[in-house]
Amino acid sequence: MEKRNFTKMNGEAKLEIAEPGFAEIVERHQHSLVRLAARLVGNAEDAKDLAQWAFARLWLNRDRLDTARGAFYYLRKILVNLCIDHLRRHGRHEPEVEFDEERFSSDLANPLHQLETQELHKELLRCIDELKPKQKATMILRDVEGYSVEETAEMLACTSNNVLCNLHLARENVRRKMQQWFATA
Amino acid sequence: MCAGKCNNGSQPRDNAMKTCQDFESLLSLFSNNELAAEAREAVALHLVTCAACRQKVEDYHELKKYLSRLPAPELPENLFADFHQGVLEKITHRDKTQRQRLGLIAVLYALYRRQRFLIAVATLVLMMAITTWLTHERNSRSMPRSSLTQLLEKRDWTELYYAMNNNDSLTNLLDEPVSAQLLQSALKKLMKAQQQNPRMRLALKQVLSRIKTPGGNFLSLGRSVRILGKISARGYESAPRPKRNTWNPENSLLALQQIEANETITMRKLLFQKQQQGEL
Repeated sequence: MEKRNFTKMNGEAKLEIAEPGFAEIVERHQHSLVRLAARLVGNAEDAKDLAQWAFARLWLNRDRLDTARGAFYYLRKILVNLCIDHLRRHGRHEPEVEFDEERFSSDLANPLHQLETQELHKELLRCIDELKPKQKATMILRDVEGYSVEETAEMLACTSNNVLCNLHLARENVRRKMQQWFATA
Repeated sequence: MCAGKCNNGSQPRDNAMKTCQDFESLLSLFSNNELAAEAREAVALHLVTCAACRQKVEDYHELKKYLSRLPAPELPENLFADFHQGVLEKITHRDKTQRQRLGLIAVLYALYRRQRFLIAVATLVLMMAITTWLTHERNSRSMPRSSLTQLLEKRDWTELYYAMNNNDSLTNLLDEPVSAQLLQSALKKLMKAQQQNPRMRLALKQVLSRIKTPGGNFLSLGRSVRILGKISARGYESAPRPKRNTWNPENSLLALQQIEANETITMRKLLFQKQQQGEL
């Protein structure tokens, strides 16, 4: 981590571009972090805000961090916990983020099938959104983002067994709700 | 957490003894290859014989497929335009808050080092004030709300004693009109009780001594407390005999008998009559 280097410009502190380390880290990871936060909180503006707080916290605690681990490791960890806190504080709400359906369904020639897939994704997201914050985060990190159980446990600051328990509860919950949806659809 | 409902394969039991319920928590983990080898084998063995669990595993496979194909969230293009600036603002905001917090702690610590004695006294006074206030709040909340008639009907002497000891409720009790018959029967009971229990007699006298006489003489709370202290230190016999406010329930009973049973009377009137006659 680089040493802090603020300069006063027009009465406001500016993070110099000459600090390539941190500015580069922000530039490199901002998209992936905001995308992850958007998945977790379902709102692009909140996701951006939380990602910015994750970078700010990384910078402010840089002296205490183990430099052997990459910045992205800490950023993910900080962000996931910020998102869980955000979900706990603000409760559940309908996701406002649009999901890029075309990217996945463009190969499907049948428009009816495409519509069905969109409906299914919408319902699946609704079911995930109804989960408890920690279960939701566990499911998204492991099943949607594809992180390993150990990585998920590290990000959530819990044990692998806790992750497996939460995963089971979340999957069981979503499976039941989806089964009901399939029965009524 | 799952409060021990899940069995992640850490403690496998005899497979023959297990039911579908035992495997339920393992099925989703089995379908995602997250089980230890031993537990995986046990689940696989169970699946050979159980169609319902096989169906569940199929469902979990489907769910896994859907989840992995969930589309990525689409973010507005201009979302990252002022991203760096936002990070910087949050850093400065947080930094300032931290410094302010540290500054306040430092000021308080310096003050404590210089004026240690003064702060200790102030804290003590504050704590005493809070305790007094809390006690007052609790006492005022726990003030008996029952009327004199109710208390007499219930023969609740304890509550009557506390109610008469409380300045706010004492006035209400003294001015509440009660049936002479009820008062008469209550007095009879009280007389019987005080003959059996000297402490009760004393308590009755202590309470009644706090009632202001027409001449303006009454036992102050401070004196009552001093008397109680004396009693607790030297025993009941050491209590000074109240001179002016001596109340004889027998006289009150006689006075009550002169009133019609269906009439009402207040305690104050009864005591006032007695005081005028020089009996109290």
